[in-house]
Amino acid sequence: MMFKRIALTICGIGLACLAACDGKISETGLDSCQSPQQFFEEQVWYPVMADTCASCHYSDGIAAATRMKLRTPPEGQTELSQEDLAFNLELVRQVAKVDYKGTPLLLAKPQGALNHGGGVVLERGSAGLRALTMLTEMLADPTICSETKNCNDVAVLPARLWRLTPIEYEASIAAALGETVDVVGKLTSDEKVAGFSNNADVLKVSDVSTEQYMSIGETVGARIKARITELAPTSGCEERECARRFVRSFGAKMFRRPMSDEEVIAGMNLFDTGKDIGGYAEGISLAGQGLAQAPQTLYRSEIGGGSGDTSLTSYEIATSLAYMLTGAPPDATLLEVAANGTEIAKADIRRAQAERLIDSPAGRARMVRFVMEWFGLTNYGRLEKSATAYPQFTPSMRASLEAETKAFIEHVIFDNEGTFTAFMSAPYSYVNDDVASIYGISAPGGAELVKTNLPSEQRAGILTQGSVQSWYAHDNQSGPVFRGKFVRQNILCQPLPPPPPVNVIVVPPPNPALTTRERFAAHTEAPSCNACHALIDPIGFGFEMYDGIGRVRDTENGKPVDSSGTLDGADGVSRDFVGGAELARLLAESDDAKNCFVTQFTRFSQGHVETVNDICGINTQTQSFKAQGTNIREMVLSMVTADNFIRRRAARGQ
Amino acid sequence: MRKPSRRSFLKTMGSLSLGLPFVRLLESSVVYAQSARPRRLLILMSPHGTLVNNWRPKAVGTDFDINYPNAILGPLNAFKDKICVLDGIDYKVLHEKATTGHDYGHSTFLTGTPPYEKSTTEVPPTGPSIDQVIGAKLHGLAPRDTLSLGVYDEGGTYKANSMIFDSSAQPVKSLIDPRTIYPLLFTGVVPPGGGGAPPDPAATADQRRKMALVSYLNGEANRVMPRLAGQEREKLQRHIDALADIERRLSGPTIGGSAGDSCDPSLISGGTLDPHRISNIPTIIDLQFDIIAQAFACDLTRVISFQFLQGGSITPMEWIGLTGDLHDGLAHFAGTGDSAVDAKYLTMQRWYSQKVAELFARLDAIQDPQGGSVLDNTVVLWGNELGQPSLHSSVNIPMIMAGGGAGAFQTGRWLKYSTSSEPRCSGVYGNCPASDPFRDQTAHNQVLTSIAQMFGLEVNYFGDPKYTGTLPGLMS
Repeated sequence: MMFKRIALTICGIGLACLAACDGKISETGLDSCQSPQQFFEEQVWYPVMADTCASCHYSDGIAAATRMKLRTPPEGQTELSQEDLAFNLELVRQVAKVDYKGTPLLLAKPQGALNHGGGVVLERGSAGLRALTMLTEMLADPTICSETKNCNDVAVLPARLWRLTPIEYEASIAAALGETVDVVGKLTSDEKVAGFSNNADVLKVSDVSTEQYMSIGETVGARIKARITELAPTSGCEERECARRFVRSFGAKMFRRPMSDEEVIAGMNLFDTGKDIGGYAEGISLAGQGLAQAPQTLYRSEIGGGSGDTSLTSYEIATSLAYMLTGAPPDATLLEVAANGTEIAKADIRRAQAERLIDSPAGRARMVRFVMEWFGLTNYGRLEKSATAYPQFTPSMRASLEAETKAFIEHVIFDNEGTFTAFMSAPYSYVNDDVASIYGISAPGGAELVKTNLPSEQRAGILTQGSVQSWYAHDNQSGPVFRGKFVRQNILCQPLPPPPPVNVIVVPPPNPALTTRERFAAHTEAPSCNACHALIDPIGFGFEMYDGIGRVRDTENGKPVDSSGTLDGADGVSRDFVGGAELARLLAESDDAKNCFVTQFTRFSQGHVETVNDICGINTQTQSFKAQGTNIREMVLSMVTADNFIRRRAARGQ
Repeated sequence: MRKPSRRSFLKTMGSLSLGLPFVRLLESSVVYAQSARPRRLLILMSPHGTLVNNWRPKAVGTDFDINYPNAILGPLNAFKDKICVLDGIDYKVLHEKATTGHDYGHSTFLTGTPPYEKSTTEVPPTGPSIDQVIGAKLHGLAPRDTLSLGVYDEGGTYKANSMIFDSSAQPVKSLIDPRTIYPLLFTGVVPPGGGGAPPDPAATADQRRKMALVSYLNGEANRVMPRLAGQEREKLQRHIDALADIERRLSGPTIGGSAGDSCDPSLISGGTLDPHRISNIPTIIDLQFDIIAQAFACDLTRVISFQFLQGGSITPMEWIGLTGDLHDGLAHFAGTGDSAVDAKYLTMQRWYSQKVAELFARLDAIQDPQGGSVLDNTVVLWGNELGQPSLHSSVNIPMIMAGGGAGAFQTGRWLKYSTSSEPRCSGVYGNCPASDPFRDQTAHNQVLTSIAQMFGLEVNYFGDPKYTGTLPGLMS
């Protein structure tokens, strides 16, 4: 569609009510509100950016190598697809988040600041600049969003099936069967999306995994057979009636809701076939195998009541709550609440259940799992180091460093301060003899982890721990690029632009006499590499005080190590720092890091990577997260009580 | 609107009529129909690019040499007559988006699509990979449509771990653990000639149980189906398709029609090695090669892909004396004038050639009952995520085709699509003048289109519709 000439307005707390007409903006007192998406399309993209910005900032344009690479319509066309509009808005949002001397970069650049290649393209006071300013405010201030009806509507996830992860499936079988059967080792692991292995779009049942489920089912069947008198007793009932009881109860546990009559009949058909093959136990076993791998089991249903009603059913809500908070199916207490129908749709009832679940051992373990996934550490147990460079990195050391981080996460969230600030900057960790040798402090005397204060100029919070530093390192040296990239992408949620395609990069050959920093500095110096590495290296170099297994070092190759760095363009002004601990304390206070934390938990808890539609919700939640003092448990509970937790919208393509 | 199932989607792709002349189509379907020999597809991918001057053959009169000193392809010299060197193939879809092979070559290699950019750390492609499309096209000829194998999971340090993408362009993870692949593939396989014994009653009962299960699961999936829409429907349809495949395998023969005397999975084993240990990589590769050879010998599938480590792999290869990070520590410095670095880099790349030669030897040793060796009857494509490694370049991607696919193309040739070793204009690609010859280099989509046509797909492009046509001179 072409630029729509519609009068429009925007209102919000802290922003004068403005109305715009024909692309000209004037202050009036109109009262209807518009979503950032609509505003961007009608007031920013077509009248301003399509010509002013996109003539250089597009894939083949002169400014293609900058972060602002806008999507443009196909040649000969002027209309941009909704998808591309959304993409551009997201890009604009990223640039708007960067602060330049008190002005968002999005506004500073077109006014010619910071060596804008195109010079001044929007004059102060011009309608274009004002439209851009309003958009920036809409994106930055969630109170504007929360008053915008459209914005709330789109934050709801589509109705969907969400396949259980191997860990969740293992817990589900264990809960129904009363014993653990190996699932994780038998299923092909899933591809990670944005770092998380539970993305609902990617989690599917493939040709191969269908067979893996069948093989797991055989083990389940064998266990059922072995415990037949306990699981499906034949005393006091006629054989088929006993079987029906088993199907109903085992099925309800697997499906996380009562079974329909048709579902019971289908299960009984399996029983009959099995009984025909090998008698009663065989029949029960086969029915159990079927129920354990039925689609109703393998997928968490988030479809709603049907007939156009996309509010989740009480059992769906209970299921969402349980897997989100414990990685396991709803327990008997929660299912009882679900059986009460509308009760669980009430926020206070949900909150009470959520508190019970998150504080349980499984709930605590789930939060640890979240952080391990977010930090990319789930395969830490497989990390190998060069035996020549780091003979100290034994399997025992590896296990200790992992245990340290897990203990730290759990205790910070549940037993100590409970805040994001402490998570990022706590002056202590959990140390045993192995860990103490990495930190160069006196050994507590044993393998048990003991809460210990660490030298504050060397360590702060989770980032400077041995596990994180050794994971983001090479097998025989430190890894400033890995570490810088990790902080940018995982801690600040700032995706890096892809490396620019260049024809000649002059990379100096490695000189063993230099320090790692000196060698990698080549990246920042070569202009062609600079576009990305200017965003990575100033952070990564700040960790150079840690070697490839996280020990503090003063020298490398006989030269002093330089751990000075800059956190720049992340949350505004660029701040110089020296060393990982100082950086960690900066990040603990960074608004971007807090917003990113909320974003990461949203990705994990929803199995969904945010789109432009989710921004308002995330911003709103970040505001309350900051206002309540960054308590992590409280943030999780607030997501459960939010209205979108119990609603879905019709899926596309219906 | 009801979305088509995965299979029908892929089939539709295969029969898209684009209003363009499909001269080759008739011809290839005729070849396919006339040839009783089973045409297979094998895709190999190894990382870190190449040094084109060590990779490119040298002309010797009308012949060419791949075994000169420090030649990357040297270890393949014994198979020189069975390979086709595709010299000067470029990832043009990446250039166009001003992105490089470094991050996206992996996902573009087999899909021919530019990455769909999101504001996340993952950049998936926008279409399925060619193995999935061809697997669907050949559906029914062998018990399984496709098999995706690999080695060692680096744990997601880099964004592009997968090179295989399903019909909704979602990644398909490679199987890396022979301990689980072996039973998955070979349990119950009865080699040709081994079927004379009376049916085992236990096996019959097992089959009945499984058939009953599949039928139950199918019924339950169809019970859920009417409540779904769009993408969710497609998700469950995929599950239903997988169940149908299992049913077919249960009720049909355990081997395909081209299983020959070499089919004997009992000759190999899944081994006991932990695939998550770096030092086990060479042995795991050998086991995977055995599995590939037997999977083809027993005709369990017509389409296999194998991935040697991931793009931008940082894994050291101590078994050939290479320690440290081979990506940032080695590949990024190769070709920048340091001969010691280049020597190490060539050791790595020659090792990959050596392994490919070993795989070829296994495949060439197996005779298909309809004639020719498995290698002769296979369309092999071996690619890489990068061109020149220190340039992050996506031109001059080292691509080799081999085997011949039962007469689909002639081997023993060096096909030259470019003679340049470097892109010629300076500055970012977008600044190159339109007249620059770089723009006229050869899109790898043409390789994919050629392969698609070899398998009877009526398409004139694969992936990005902009890059049409087959690779000139390849199909003969």
